[in-house]
Amino acid sequence: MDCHGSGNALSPSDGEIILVGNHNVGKSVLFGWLTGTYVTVANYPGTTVEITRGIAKRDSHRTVVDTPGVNSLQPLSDDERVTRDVLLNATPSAVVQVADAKNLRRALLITSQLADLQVPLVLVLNMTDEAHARRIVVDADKLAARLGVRVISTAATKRQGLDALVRALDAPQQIQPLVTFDDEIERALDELQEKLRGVCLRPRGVALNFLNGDPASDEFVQVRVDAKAYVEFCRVREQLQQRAAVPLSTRMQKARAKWIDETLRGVYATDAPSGSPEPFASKLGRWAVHPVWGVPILLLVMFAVYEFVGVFGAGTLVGFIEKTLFGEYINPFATALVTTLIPFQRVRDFLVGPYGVLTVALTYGFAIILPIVFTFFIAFGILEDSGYLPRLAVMAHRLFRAMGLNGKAVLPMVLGLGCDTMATMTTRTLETKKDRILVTLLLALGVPCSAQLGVVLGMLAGMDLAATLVWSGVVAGVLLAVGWLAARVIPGDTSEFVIEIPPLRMPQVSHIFIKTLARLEWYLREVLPLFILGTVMLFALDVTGALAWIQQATQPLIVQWLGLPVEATNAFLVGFLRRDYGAAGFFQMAQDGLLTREQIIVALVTITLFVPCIANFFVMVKERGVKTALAITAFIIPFAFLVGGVLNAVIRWLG
Amino acid sequence: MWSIKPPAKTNTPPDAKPFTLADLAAGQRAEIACLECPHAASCERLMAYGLVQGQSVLLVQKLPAFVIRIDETELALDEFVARCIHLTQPRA
Repeated sequence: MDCHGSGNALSPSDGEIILVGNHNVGKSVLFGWLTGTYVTVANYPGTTVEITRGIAKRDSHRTVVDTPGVNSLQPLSDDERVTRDVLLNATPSAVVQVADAKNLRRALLITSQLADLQVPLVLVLNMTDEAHARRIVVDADKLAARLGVRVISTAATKRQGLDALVRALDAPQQIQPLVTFDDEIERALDELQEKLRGVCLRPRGVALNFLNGDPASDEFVQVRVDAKAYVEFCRVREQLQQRAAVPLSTRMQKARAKWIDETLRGVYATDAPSGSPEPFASKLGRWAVHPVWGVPILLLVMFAVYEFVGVFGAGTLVGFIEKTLFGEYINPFATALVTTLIPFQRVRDFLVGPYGVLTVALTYGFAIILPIVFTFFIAFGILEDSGYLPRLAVMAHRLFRAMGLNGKAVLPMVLGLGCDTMATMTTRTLETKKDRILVTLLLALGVPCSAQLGVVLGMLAGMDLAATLVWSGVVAGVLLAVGWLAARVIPGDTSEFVIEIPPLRMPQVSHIFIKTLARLEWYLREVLPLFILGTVMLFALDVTGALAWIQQATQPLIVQWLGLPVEATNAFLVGFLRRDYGAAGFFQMAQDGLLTREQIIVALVTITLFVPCIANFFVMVKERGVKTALAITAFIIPFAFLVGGVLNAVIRWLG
Repeated sequence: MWSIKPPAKTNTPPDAKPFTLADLAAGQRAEIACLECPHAASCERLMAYGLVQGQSVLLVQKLPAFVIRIDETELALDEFVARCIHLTQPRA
């Protein structure tokens, strides 16, 4: 947290227009309208929270910042923390709070918190068309008078009221504190504010956050004031907290709720619609969480994603890029170029040999994985923006509860089907430590990423249905069993399940395009270097002869226990670097006729459960710490072989 | 504030168990009396969603998870959270 903007490209600069608001209030539509085509999406430093910036269409000197949707600026999540930090540190020319006119109560909570930050504010009452259809009437003038800032009614998707917003942005009024807390809190606030004045931009906001025990604000204050003053700050806070049974933050929230009730009186009126036909999207949204109808809808969505990512992405696109583009043009050309230019065989092998950086790492990264993650990110973006993911969370809730998790873990688990590494990063958004460890473990153990899934399904497609059922049944069974057991072994609390179900909406193409590009950029920057590193390590093992030695040493395990041919060792070895890389090895062996049907099933189950790729391991270390990452890996490797061996024995016994 | 009820079916004292969202039937509506969560943060989150004293809640369904509607907001929650939301008895 920094009071004044620094040179970092992501840090707030002066004169920006900052958009804030709840989820699903039409913030991104408004953002799209205010900005042109040039938009950057970047993670807020140290988080996975995305901040979008664009140049204002009507005033090219100003940037517009879109912050993540929040419920409150008294942060309870990463998103809320980031938005709060952006607001605390910026000197914006205007803050635009976008509110859903239908949900004014929830918006006013944020308004009251913005008032404590004393920012120049314009309140946009968006979706007035929908509010009107539901006979909700909001008196914008009366509300403006009560808040002391301009209130603009809009219907952003229909381009209504937007000109008035642009005019209001020229001279926004600074909002003043609206909620008066009880005397005790106010006295403490006054005392702290006095000391913070001149030290930072938003003394009341910082003082409030400090009193709430927010760690970032605590650190912020500690840095800005001298040691003696800091002790005094802490004393004020402790005195306040000790005197009442109810936590300070709850007391403040109650005071805000009271103010909201008073403010809504005479401003917000609803005349409950009766008999008006329910729109189709709303019905569909309801069916999607229905205990019976939700299931076929879920299956249909899964099938559509499979067709798009599995068949189109992993099949058609990969086929064209790998076989035609790389296989016939790029790689032969690169090999010829390297052979003529470089006289040393070792260097040639390093670049274009069987473990070459160009022929293996880059081909792999660009030709096989890129098309798959590209289609996956598009599909995921559509699921995200349409509002289906929270409904999926509701449908999966029971199943996840058996694994000691709840529906909220659906998001990282589904994302894991795209890329386990990225999914492991997003486990940060889970609330309790236990949830984070459990999801990290299950992702590493048995959630195949899109690349691996693509290869595995490609192999299973060539076999009968029974093989597919055995593979998926064993993997799903192992996930459930390990989750169930781990939930009982790992100490700590599971988080409570509360999730908002937004209305189903048609996703915006431009928004999905921007998000997909940002995610692809992340993939190229973070994941591709690891393919190169992995290939270089394999090259080194091969050159030093260590590869042959390892094959020899692990023969009892691979040949006797799993019943696989000795060449399978290679696949497991590269599987240490990438699970899908390992699966690709089996793919090759199966094509060469080296594996029987039973061997393929055993090999696929084992490699699916095998250690995550090296990128995933590094992220596990970063997110969960070395100890947990090593413990998870030390469990998974023998466990994968155990399951594989048992499956082998069972198949043999059954004949 | 007791409405007239038929004699209790069992001999449990009438005030032993509070009336919560989990006791409501799907499709029923009631007013929030108070929130009793184990952690202050849970209460604050629910309040931020608009679950405050006096608000009317509609229970849409109970399976596969509880779905409730408050004004124009729809929330999914599990039974544990539903038990934290105390309601005033709907009049028969």
